[in-house]
Amino acid sequence: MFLFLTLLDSPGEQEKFAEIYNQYRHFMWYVANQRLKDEHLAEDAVQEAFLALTRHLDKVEDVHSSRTRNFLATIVRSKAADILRKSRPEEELTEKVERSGWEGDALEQYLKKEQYNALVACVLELDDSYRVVFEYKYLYRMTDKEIGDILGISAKNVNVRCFRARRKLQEMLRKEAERYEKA
Amino acid sequence: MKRHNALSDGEQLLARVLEECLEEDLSFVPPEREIARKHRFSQEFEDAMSELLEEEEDEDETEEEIRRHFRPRFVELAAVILVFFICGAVAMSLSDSFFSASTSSDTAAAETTEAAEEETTAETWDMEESAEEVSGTDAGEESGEETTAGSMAEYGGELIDEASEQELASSLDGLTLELAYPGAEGGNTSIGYSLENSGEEAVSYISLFDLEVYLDGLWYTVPYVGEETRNWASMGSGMVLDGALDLSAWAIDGETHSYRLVLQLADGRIGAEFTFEEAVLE
Repeated sequence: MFLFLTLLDSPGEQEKFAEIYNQYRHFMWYVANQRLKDEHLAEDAVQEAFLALTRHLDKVEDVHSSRTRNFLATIVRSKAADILRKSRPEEELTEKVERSGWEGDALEQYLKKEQYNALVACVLELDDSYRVVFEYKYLYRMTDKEIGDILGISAKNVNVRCFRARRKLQEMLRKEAERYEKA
Repeated sequence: MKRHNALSDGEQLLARVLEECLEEDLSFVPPEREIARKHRFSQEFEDAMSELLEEEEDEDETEEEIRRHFRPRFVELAAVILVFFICGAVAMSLSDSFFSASTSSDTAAAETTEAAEEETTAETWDMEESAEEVSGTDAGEESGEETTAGSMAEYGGELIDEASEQELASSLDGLTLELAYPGAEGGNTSIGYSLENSGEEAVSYISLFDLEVYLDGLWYTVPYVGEETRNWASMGSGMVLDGALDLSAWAIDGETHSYRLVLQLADGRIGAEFTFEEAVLE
């Protein structure tokens, strides 16, 4: 964690950053601590999140908007997920997806209004490592390069992670649909 | 947020669900004040953050900052030059067609060139809504009353007009003009300049400088003999633009005088003074 705010170009950006810091640092810590269950690790996640924010401050239009709050939550959750992943390297998320019944990326066919409730349930169940990639990509409309910059991985790996996230969600939705049919 | 590829219907639905889930998750988070009451950041965290905040306030001209600023400046300079040439070419072709159509008067070649330049300026200014409101420029001279009352002085064997404004600051709307000696190109008639927008908003300005000379207690406009045209450019907040000007693009007489480079902004003008010796000798 070095040269945080020195990375910002203009006094306007620095002021915006300081405002965000003052307004949301406790909120961000709380969100991180919910995931990490460790106060100090949560602080690390907050610091990492602020560092990432210095490079993407242009994504914040209105400091006080709920969108900004959500965006900061996404960043700090992705940092918390990163810390968790590093602390448990043996649990490689990418290998959890069941292979059976995999028919390529057919997520689109499950993304229908009729599936709305199932989709909500699956997204809430989805691991943060995947969910934050979706949020960056579909909610904040960030490019793979921008997402990679925040996550500290290459754009290509973002693409891979996104593919795996789609696959995971597809699998969850398929199971949900099967369960519904049986019922 | 920036937009890129359009989302499919399914992805739009997913985005909506993601937002709803996020809102639901965050609805359980207590207000900031309440969290602050229950949790205190560790001294280590506070120290790191406050140190960084102080560092940021002190940072002025660090090497890192300079390096970071230079990269976008060159890109912006290249973009400005490109836009400059495109607009110039369009404006010149328009003025050429205009003059070829009006054959009623046989003016002198020099006058025609001047008129063409002014026409180019007017054409360019038409592109901006605020162009008419800007005072103290060639366009203003064409139709305004401000400069008609100005005196003239002999310079380099010609009569030149008094500048539209005598008192100029070097900074306006957050945009500051500074000169460097010698010019960045190292040529003996070039002079380096630096434009910095330290304001919070983008500033529009005309990319072609005016050169004014100080004669008998007043500033006068030195005729521009270069080929560049006047176009509006914009500089974003926090940006710095370094460049060099070849003074031979103005009809300078080579004598020792005080000069100033003047830049037209939307709300006024800024200038920076230098003497001819400083520009050519160092």
